[in-house]
Amino acid sequence: MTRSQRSVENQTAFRRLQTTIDTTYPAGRFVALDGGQIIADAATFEELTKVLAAAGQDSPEVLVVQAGGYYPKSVNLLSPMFPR
Amino acid sequence: MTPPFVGQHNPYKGRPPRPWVRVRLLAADGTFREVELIVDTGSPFPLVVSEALLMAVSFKESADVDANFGFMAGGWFRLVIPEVSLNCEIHGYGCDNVFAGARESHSDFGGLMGLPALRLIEYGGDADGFWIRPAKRLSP
Repeated sequence: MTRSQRSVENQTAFRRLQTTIDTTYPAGRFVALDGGQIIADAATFEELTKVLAAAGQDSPEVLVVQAGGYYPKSVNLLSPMFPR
Repeated sequence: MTPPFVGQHNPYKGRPPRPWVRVRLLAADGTFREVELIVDTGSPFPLVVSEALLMAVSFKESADVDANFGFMAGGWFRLVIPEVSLNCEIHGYGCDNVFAGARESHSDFGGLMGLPALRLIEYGGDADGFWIRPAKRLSP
């Protein structure tokens, strides 16, 4: 699967800002990134969606994470169901 | 009198036999895709489906991850399981290698559900199958 240039930039921005997000926002807070920066945050996904829509930033390419969430950059899974 | 069972009780399916659940993933246009997911309590990821399904129903993108079985694209899903009154947004992934692995067990399977999603409900199993039921409500 190929991500768009905008998506790749948002992924890069998230990894750069991941520690900042986790230390700045309460755990579980929904945070949106686009254009290399944080553009909105809210207590719920639904609320965040409304905020983004009101600002005209409701593209599906906007990247959303939860502060303190489990977002490893890479992972080695052991489950035997996965093909190797 | 035994009260009626509320939830899903699904006989193990596939070769080898797998526990599974049936879920709906809602798209932004209000339509939904119904999909059967292998249950994997050892997976730290809530949902993994095919990349095509991620593209079809995901509302927003989320953090990607590189796993030992390939690239997994992150996204947000609306997960609905009517039998257990579950309706929520949840983070998940699209990964065709995982999708293919699930379908090696049975062609009905469309991915997997991991522990973070299972913790939203109650689950268990016996010799014949796997069940889910609504989460117990805590007193206010």
